[in-house]
Amino acid sequence: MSTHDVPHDSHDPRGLHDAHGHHASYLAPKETFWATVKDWATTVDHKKIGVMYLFAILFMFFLGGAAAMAVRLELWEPVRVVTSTTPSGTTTTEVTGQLFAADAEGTSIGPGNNVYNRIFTLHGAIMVFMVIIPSIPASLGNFFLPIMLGAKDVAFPRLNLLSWYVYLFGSIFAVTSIILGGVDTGWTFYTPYSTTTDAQHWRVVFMILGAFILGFSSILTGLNFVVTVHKLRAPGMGWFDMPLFVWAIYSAAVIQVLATPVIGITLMLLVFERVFRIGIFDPALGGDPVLYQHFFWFYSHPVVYVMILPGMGIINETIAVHSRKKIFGYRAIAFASLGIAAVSFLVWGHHMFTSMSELASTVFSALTFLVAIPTAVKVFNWIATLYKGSIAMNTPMLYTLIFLFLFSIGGLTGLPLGTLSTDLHLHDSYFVVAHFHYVMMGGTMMGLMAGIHHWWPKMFGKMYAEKPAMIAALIVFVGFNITFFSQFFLGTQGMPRRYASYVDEFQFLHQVSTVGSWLLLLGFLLHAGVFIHSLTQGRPAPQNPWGGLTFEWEAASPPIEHNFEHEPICRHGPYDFESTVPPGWKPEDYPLPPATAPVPQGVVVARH
Amino acid sequence: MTTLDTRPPGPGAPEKAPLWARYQHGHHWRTAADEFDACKLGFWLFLTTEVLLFGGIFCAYFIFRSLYPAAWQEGSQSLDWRWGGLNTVVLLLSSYTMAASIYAIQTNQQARARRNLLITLVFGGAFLCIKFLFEYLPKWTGWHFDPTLAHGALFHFVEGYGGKRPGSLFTYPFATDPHMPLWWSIYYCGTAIHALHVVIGMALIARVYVRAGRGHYGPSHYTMVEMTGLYWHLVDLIWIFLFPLLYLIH
Amino acid sequence: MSQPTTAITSPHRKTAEFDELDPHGFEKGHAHSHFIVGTFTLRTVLIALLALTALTIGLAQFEIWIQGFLDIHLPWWVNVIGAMTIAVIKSFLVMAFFMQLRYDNPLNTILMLFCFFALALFLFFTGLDLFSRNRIYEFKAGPIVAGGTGTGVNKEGKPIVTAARERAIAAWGPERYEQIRQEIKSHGHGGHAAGRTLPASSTASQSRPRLGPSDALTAVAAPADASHGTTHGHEDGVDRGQNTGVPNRAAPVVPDQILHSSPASGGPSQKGMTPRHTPDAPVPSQVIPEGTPSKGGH
Repeated sequence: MSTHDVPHDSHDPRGLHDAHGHHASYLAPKETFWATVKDWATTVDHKKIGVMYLFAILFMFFLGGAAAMAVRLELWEPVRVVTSTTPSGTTTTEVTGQLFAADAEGTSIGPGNNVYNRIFTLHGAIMVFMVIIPSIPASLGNFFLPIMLGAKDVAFPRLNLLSWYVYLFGSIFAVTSIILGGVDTGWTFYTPYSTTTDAQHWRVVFMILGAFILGFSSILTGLNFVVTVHKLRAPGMGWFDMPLFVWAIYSAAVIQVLATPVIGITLMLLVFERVFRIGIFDPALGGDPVLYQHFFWFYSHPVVYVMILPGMGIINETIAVHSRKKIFGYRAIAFASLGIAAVSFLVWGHHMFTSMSELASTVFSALTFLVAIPTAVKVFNWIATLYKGSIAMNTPMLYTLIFLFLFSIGGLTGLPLGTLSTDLHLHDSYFVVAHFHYVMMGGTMMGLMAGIHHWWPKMFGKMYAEKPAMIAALIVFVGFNITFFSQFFLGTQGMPRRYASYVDEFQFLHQVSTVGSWLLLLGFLLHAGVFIHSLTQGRPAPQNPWGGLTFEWEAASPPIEHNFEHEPICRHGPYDFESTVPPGWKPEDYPLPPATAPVPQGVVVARH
Repeated sequence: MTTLDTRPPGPGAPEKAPLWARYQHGHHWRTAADEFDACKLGFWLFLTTEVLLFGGIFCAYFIFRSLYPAAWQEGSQSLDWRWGGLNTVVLLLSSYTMAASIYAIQTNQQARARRNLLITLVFGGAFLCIKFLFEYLPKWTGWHFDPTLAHGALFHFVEGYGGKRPGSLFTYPFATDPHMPLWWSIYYCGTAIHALHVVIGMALIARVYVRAGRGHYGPSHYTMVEMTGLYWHLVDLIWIFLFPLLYLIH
Repeated sequence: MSQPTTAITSPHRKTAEFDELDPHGFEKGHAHSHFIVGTFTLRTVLIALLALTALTIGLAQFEIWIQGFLDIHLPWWVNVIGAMTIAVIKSFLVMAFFMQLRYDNPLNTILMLFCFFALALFLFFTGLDLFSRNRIYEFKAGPIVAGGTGTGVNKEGKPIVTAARERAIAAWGPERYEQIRQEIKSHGHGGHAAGRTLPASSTASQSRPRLGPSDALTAVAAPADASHGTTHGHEDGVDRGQNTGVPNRAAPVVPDQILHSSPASGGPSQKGMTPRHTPDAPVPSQVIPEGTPSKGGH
């Protein structure tokens, strides 16, 4: 940004009123197609970067989802080896129920399992590293954090672009590894399996390098957000005047900055261990494989809070706006977000109860209960916000309610997993799988869907078709519950996770779960259809369709390149529905509650 | 004393103002001071990530030192504290010259600033040379570098000295403690990743040096120099901890 | 678009303070200043850092000297705590003055402190696990049979160090091996601290029986052979005066000092974990290296 010779106009230092077309929507194309492509490829505009992230993430979501569909298809039937004798005396052995036949590298564990193992690793790695971690912060966070603060862009716009390209680069690395045969270690790459098996080093190394590079993207995004929140708030916006979405993104960004370097060093050491056999995770050389688990989970546990906190942040916004009620307990929720971020660093051992000493396990178990407290505070506050609110039943609100339901189940089922005694039985069973799908998908993804629908009119300037979207949401909800609720029972009955086959008694529940996954696919395909229809034929969106009070509703739909015509000044709280006419609304369309004092003579009702 | 006291020449100066005086801060910042403070905050956040990166190695170090003190003792004895101490002094001096170059920029002494940056670069290079030629090379291969040519040639081979390599690459025949390969793994991981950061730091300093020559930095705008300085001080900081932990175990 | 005045229809909570006359800050910020750290401060800090470096090295040398000359045995934690304290002071000087944290926004300092705190948490909890493995179940700290995954040791199944030694002996013959070994040890070619030998009485290097993978890992023969320790010790002719952990290797026996150690000083210092090895074999007295103090401590 070192433009040395542009004339400096002290009345318009930021050049808002120049004649360079900065009043056009950020989506407006340039003169030629290639000029548009170049504009998007070199943009430092946080909105464009957010949109690019959004589409990349949704694409990766479908890729990872396809892998999930394959997993569930394999699990339709257990693998049975049927030996039959023909009348002429020859015995034939037939393997039934196996979808993925062994490839050339069939292992001794089971001929088809190495393919299955690669598929669930693919599902996990894509979903964790390429979808869920960047899902809300990189897409909706990038788009709306600066706008909600009244800023023109994030603190370091070029760093933002770098984050995006690093994300692309890392994803290409990981996908290359998958195309070239994939990795069968599980997304957690536990030693000694990941350091000693698979004669072809470079596949595991590629995947690990992909995850390492993606970590950098995460760190740079987090760094950008922390500085933006500290330094780029509008005049009049103190810490406690910020929308709670910003608090959530800020807490998640703090975790990203502190935790991600540890996975960086872990993956580096894993590569050295694998390629040079340096021995820090190898017991024969004096190392300790559980040390790898400590290193890995020190990052991976806080990162699940990076995943959920922004989802919760979206819920704050949608619940307040669509029940048109001030959020209950603003400060409690703000501090709870920070509290969750802080406590998340103390509990990583609960992923390793079966590997650690009993003393450490007990301590971690006790600490794990702590993290439930701020989370519960938030859920109670949201329900209190709904109470006596004027609830609008639309897709964002539907997804908000779905979030509350599914995340609560997910959170509650985390308790038997956090309790040491019960976890020893439930560890590595389908109970764990169901639990984290409820919190990650039922939590973060439902929050993402809520956010996408809530902000779709703002981002793209088009409304989406409400009825089909709500039907799709309901199909997703039903499909999700069928898919994953059955897995709780599978888990308590003893079905282990990451197994391609199982004993006959589990077959019914597995089939139920698979049918549910088809419903899920249908729901998401419907959503994709709604999005495409909206982008091509949707009716134009007004400035403030839902009556929100935060700064993004003061910007145009879609916003202009510099977000606002004039930098907004914060004169009211983000959820003061009882006393503020929403921007873009006429006062007669928004009757304030009768308890309001009458407007004095000559005073114009604030538009901001 | 503040940078307000060293403002650029006022109007009426014959030549065009230097690049740094014409610097325009990013459009999304209200003032250049905001931009500078924000860059600093952002860079400190980045430094915390670097500290935590090395933290993983320190954690592995402490775990294994407690498990195998004899191996750590023997390993530390194989390291010459004189080279380590010299490296420490070199890095401390380079930190000083880096800070001095920032002082020079803040007081608009461009030539002095560039000189100090160059000296910092030279010290960084010296660190790397000492590390590679006098520590890594002999330990890994047995070939010693002797600029005094006391053995006839620049490099001479000492039988049985080399082979101190990490993990399964270890071939040194005179180790007594069986966990020596692990010691060398930790040693090489820690110092090599640190050396990588020294190289990155030197690249940053070189870039700043070149741009300073073109007049990009001055009392009212020296953000990049400040960031480079912070990075270099962090590199020094890591070595301050690595040196006693690796070289001075008794 | 005109800026409407005030506005609010009912009193609600006031937002943060800002300058009503210039909310967007157009007027301020034309001149800003940063604190300049003077050369005198910088030079003083440099001298302090160099002095502290000399102190660290001096402390280490002093420890060696005092053990060799006056036969005073300093416990192992003296070295660690001394060196770490000096390192912390040096890092404080670099951060406060060279990195100008002292003159900066306190937020940056808080950030750094928070980062160190997170690191400390990491080390603490990992250590909590790694060093308390045998609290409840003895077997969790028992010996790991040599070989492990089979990839850490070389193809003959020997520990790497032993294999390297035997390869060299095979290549040079035993006499030349011994000769080279003496050369390396005494002349210290450019790297080995010349002539510096640690007295046998140094307790800092004694291998204390550790929780986790144990010394039985290194034994090639069956771990139950208690007398293997001495023969193993004499075979390679390695000077047993140094690094005297090896004689205790062959069997899971407990060196004498642990039996007498007090809980406060036994085991690693972290968080008061005390090892509770109960020896399942009698301690053969010939295994204990000479000069080992029989009093508590390590």
